[in-house]
Parts: sequence; C-alpha cells; structure tokens
Amino acid sequence: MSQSSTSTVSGRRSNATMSDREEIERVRHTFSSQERYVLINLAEQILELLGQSSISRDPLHDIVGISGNELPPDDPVLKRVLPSAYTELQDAAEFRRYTEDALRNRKRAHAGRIREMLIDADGLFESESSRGSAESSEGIDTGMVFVHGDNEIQLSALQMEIVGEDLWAWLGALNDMRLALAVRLDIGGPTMGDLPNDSHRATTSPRGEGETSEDQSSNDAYSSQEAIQRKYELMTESDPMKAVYAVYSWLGWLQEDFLKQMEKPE
Amino acid sequence: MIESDIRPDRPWLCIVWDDPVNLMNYVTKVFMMVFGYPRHKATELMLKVHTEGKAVVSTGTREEMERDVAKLHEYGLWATIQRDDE
Repeated sequence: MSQSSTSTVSGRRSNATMSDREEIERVRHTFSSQERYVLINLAEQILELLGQSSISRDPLHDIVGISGNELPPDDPVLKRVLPSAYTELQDAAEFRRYTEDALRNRKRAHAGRIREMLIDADGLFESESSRGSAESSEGIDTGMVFVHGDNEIQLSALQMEIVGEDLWAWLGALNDMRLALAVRLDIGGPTMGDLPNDSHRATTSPRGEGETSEDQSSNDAYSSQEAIQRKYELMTESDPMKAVYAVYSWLGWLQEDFLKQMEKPE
Repeated sequence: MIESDIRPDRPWLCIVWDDPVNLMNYVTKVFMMVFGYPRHKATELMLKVHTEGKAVVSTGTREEMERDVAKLHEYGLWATIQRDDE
C-alpha cells in the first residue's frame, strides 16, 4: 500500500482509540482550469478503457447481463482494474462471466459522474472570482478550452462541494485513474495484479528483470516505491513519463485530501 | 486472523491483498464503507494487509463473499474469495 507523506501510522492509531466519530460525507475543493482539464481527460480515458470488450459480443449476453468474458483481460491496466475474484481459474472464469459487465458499468458510472460534474458544473458553484479568470496559488487562472465533440467548453477555476454518493464516485474514479497510471508507470512491477500462484502469467511477462512476483515483502515493495519516486524525480523535464508521474502523485494528494476532510470533526 | 469473525460454520473468506498503489487511508475508508466496520477495526485490517501482504477482511457464505469482493473491486481494492481450508 502506498503511504502518503502527510499521514503516519502512529497518528492514525492514536485516533483509533478515540470513539469513532460520525464520518463526514462532504468535501470541498477548488479545481484550477488545468486540474479540471486533466481530470476530464482521465475520466474519458477510463470510460473508453472500460467500454472496450476483449471479445466479440453476443447481443443476448447484453440482455441478460452476462459478459461472456471468462479470461482475465490481456491489457495490464484492465487486468488490475478488473481483477480475478478467485485464485482458482475455473471459479475465476465463472465469476467473471457473470459479473464483469456489472463491474465495468459501475466503474464507468463513477468516471462518468465526475466527468459530468466537471463539465456541466452540475452541483457546482463558481467562486466569485472565477468567472473568466480566477486567483489561484499560481496567480491568475485564465481558463482553458476543452474540446468536446463539436463543442468547445470554456473551463475556468471552480470551487466544488461533493456530497453523499457523489463522494464515493469520486473516490472510486480517482482510484481507478491512479491504478491505470501506476500500471503505465510500472509502479508495483510488471506483475501487479497477478496472484502468488498466478505463475503462468508472471513467468511469461515480457519484463522479467527487477522485481519478481514471489511473495515480495512489503519492505521491499516500499523501498522500490521510493526508488520509483527517485527515478521520476531525476528524469528530465522533457520526458513525458515525468509528467505522467506528476499527475499520478497529484491524484494521490487529491484523494488523500478528500479522505482527510471526511475524517475531520465538524 | 481476525479471531472474533471466523466461525467454523462460515467456510468462505474474503481476502484483500497488498498493492503499492492504494493509499492506506483509502483502504481503511473502503473497509468502513463496505463492511460497516468502525474506524479502529478497519485500520487494524488495513495495517495487516500492509505488513503481512494480505488479510481476511470478512467471512461468510460464498454468496456473501462474492458480494463483498464485487464491492471491493468496484473501489479498486485487490480482493479474492477462497474456502476456509484451515
């Protein structure tokens, strides 16, 4: 698991001894136009990714909600976002056949909801200074244009309040984005998503060097995480993967910020 | 093992595996939401996953475990179901 820089295990443990407060189901965040742009794009990538089916579809399957997929997806991102529910292959195949479509649809609903909120400003209120341009930590936010089909949408900074069910759509979708980017960034090694006995996949992995799937201790995982962070910090600014890593880190920061707000007493 | 939860007549387990991406606070929060566990119990389970690589997070009938796993997968956790053989 990833430990964010702002949380400590000892801090949480002392909180845990206090009576459990009512959790807060509301968070606020001001998104810059660039943040909106990035999140809308990522949400659309998730929607597209989860809309793909790895086999040709039988219309009858659609009617009864059976995907027909029995094998885990070949795409490493899909394999992590739609993992197997059983280590035993036959049980995994049967479960996947009856449930994968529903899982894809729920995840698409999460990504679709945050896309909708960021584009339509539904349930949003613009901060007074955000029309046209807004103050942000980097100075004036002059807005960005997002091309959506034949339309151009002018994005400006937005202060947003996210409540109730929407909040879990956000948390889930942000997490799917992080998982997808982590696979592309090779965080967790080439075998992330493989179960320990899933060796037929681990051994045929094209990238065998470095980490192995063999019961890696969490200490190793943690130190390799630090190594990954160093690797991306040392990259030149022109390396596109450095920007991907920056987005991945920011998504983690955003998710952590939401969780902190949910913990805080009124 | 989470002593109080494992009963001999409930032979299926839902297991969550460690991965290097999911934030610790997030995993705790998902356990609270999916299972209704209080924060201290959800935190203990999260730490067990983190330090031992996996943890049994719920037990019950196969159907119940399949519902739990579907929910955990929906929120991006890496979870599996297995029979309690031990």
